[in-house]
Amino acid sequence: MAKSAPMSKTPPSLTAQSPLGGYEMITGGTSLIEITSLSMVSVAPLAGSQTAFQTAMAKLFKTGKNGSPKPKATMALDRSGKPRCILMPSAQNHWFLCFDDDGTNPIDAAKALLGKSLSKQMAMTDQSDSWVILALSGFYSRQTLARICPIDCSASAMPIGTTARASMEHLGAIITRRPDEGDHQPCFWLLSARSSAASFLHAIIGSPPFRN
Amino acid sequence: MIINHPHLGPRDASEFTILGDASLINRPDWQARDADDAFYNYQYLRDNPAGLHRELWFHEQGDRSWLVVTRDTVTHAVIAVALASDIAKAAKAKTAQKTAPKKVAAKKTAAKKAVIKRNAT
Repeated sequence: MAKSAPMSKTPPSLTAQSPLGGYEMITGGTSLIEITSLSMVSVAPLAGSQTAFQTAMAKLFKTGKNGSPKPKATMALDRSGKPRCILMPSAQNHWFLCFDDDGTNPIDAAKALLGKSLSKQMAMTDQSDSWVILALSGFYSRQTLARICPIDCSASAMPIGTTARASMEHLGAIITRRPDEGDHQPCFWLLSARSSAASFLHAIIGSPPFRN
Repeated sequence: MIINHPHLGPRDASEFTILGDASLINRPDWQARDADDAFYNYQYLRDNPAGLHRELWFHEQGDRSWLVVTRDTVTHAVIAVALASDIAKAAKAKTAQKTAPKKVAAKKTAAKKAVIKRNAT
């Protein structure tokens, strides 16, 4: 009988890899950068818990007094400052809670954000490793989107925070407008499935100014 | 064709898939006496109007909602769009209203019976 290889004493260590390995492309004053530091947890209030969820979110994101009193179907809520915390609408009665990954289990972190009693009324799934997030920003970013995004991304039609699901070159995607960067340049986050991240990137960089 | 989603605004028809006649919402009662006929009609018989038609559309590349789209089959103009869940809820409320008087009647007969019983004793 052949001798089996001896088991090593220390288990092999696994390192997490981002879908596009931390992709970065900066050209013509426009940049496309993969965001790798976010945890994403989907949150769906169970039947009868929608109102409790909306009030809690209005409190968490301090939207109660000024601006929209409750999370809307088309607008993301953003807690300013660090660590980042964003609530994006993704479907009817379904949300994505995105926050900076601090090494703790994303579900535990989401539970801490929502509070104990409220998190019991939510259906939550950790989707951090299932999505690729690309930040597209700069002067020509709207030109890039003009080719691939079927939604009107002009400043008037898409104010900061607007979030929408869209199909980009037949790939399901989510687009959300982030706060402007320096020099008032627009910034968008594009989210798509991890499994087709390379195709999604190919679709984006096939557009100007990344490709003339 | 643009479908004006009640929550999300105007969206291209390519984001949607169509199921068909909106009457599919009204699934017959399987315990009814005429269930055979009702299900035959439900399953196979469709109107094919040249003009206004109510259809079920699914927002597959969007928020995964079911919509009832009223569309002119001659011009492809979209006349009205509503959430199918809202329409189903409204229909349920209507039937509940219809059945409500019966319940009151049943209560009345029960009360009458109680009176008769009391009188008998």
